[in-house]
Amino acid sequence: MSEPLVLDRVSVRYGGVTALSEASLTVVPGRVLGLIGPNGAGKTTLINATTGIAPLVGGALRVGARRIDGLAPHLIARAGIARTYQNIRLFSALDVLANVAAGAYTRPGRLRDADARGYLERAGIGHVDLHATASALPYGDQRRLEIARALAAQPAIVMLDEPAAGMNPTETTHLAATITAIAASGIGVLLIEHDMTLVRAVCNEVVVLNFGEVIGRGTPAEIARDPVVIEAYLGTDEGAA
Amino acid sequence: MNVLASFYAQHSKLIDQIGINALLALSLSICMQAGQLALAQAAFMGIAAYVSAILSLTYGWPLLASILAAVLVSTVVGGVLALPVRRLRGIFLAIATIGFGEIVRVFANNLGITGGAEGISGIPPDATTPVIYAALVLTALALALLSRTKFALAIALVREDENAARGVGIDVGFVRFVTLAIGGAIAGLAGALYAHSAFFITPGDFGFGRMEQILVWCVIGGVTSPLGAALGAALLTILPEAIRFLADYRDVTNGVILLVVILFAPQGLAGFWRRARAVRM
Repeated sequence: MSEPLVLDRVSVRYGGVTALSEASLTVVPGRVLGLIGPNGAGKTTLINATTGIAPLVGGALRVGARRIDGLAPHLIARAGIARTYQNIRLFSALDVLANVAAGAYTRPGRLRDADARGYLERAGIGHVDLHATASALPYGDQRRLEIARALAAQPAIVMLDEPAAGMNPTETTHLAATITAIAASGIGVLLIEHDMTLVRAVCNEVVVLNFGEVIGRGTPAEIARDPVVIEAYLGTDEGAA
Repeated sequence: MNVLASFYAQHSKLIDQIGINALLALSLSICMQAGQLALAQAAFMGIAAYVSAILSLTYGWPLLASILAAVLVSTVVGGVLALPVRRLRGIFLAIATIGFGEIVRVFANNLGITGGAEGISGIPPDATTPVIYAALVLTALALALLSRTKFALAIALVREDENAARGVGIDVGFVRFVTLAIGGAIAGLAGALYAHSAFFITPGDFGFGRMEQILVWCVIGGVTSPLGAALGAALLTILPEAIRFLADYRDVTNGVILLVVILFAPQGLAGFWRRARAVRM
């Protein structure tokens, strides 16, 4: 039903710093693409570029055949791209229901309570009170509420920016099941994550960024063996000496 | 009935003022609900007051037509003002819109058509109490209807987090444009009614002092609550009349009340019924 998101040699510059240099990747509906790399590698910049927050200095963004680069952020969201944030960005003074309804804002009609409950269940927090204030939820539930908000848009693509940050191993295991189920429903998932256990558990393919450039891609197993990737993460003997 | 009639005869001026001030508070409240500290309500009010006064006096327009024309003008002014300030937030937006208010006041002070510093007098006082309260009720109904639409959610989301609102597909610029235009419309309505109940208007009626009052009403009522804002306006309009000696120290009293509210009840009057609702749940 949905179409792939294609980043074609996308470059972003902040002042004189090249934050993203000719990065290409494709997020395919029904599959999970992992995006890993050291801090400052440009992972969040890649999401910001895709959602129209960071302007491109080169390259193209497409959903299916449609160019979306240069569109205002709200139009890119309407083109079927939803995201979560590394630092939780809920509408924190509003209740759970309003946050899910926010995600569904561009869908026709009004969000019914039962539908909101459905999105919350898919995000793994079907138990929460619809009228609880978002900021009053436990930390992990807030992360999952962001996922529910993204799902409520019925997007083609969901980009999750470190969803497991601050979660314990049990919560991370549950999150893996959640992400796998989202992809199984036909949505393309881009997952930024440092937790390699989670990456190995859910990703069909992984792209590695370092200093804004794609330095490796392949299955999680291939990536774990790639000497260039290992060097980027652990440094060389020279660097250590 | 006699008691009521004599009460009205004694206080009709105050009752009219309460209605007009409540409208002004509603006008700022709609902007604040979208998180915009846009302090141009006094200017919108003034523009509409002059438009309706000039249309009535110079061109002999009937009351309703001159009010509608004035509201149309202030709505357009509110919408157009949204364009140059579209990238401004918080205190910067406040300063820019206060600046706009000063520009309007200076123009009114110097133009021939506005009568300069002496203003315009002899405006037919035909905005009677029923007219003013009909306008207030219609405005309240319109706002109540608006609060039941999906657009009300967009307004709240823009207030909470503009970037996250963009992320869910909301055109933030459009929401700000619409709320400022609605704010312009309501303040304009208040201004036209003011002109037609005050007999004469001068540029000083629409300066920063007026704007500051409107802001105080909204803060006391609860910045995002329309009902609270209207009650805040009513309360602070009555207070100096009810306690006579306060009238001489109106600005001091306003300042003290504002401080007390900000320090001890930041949600204003609206905090009371919000808390009551929370307890019930």
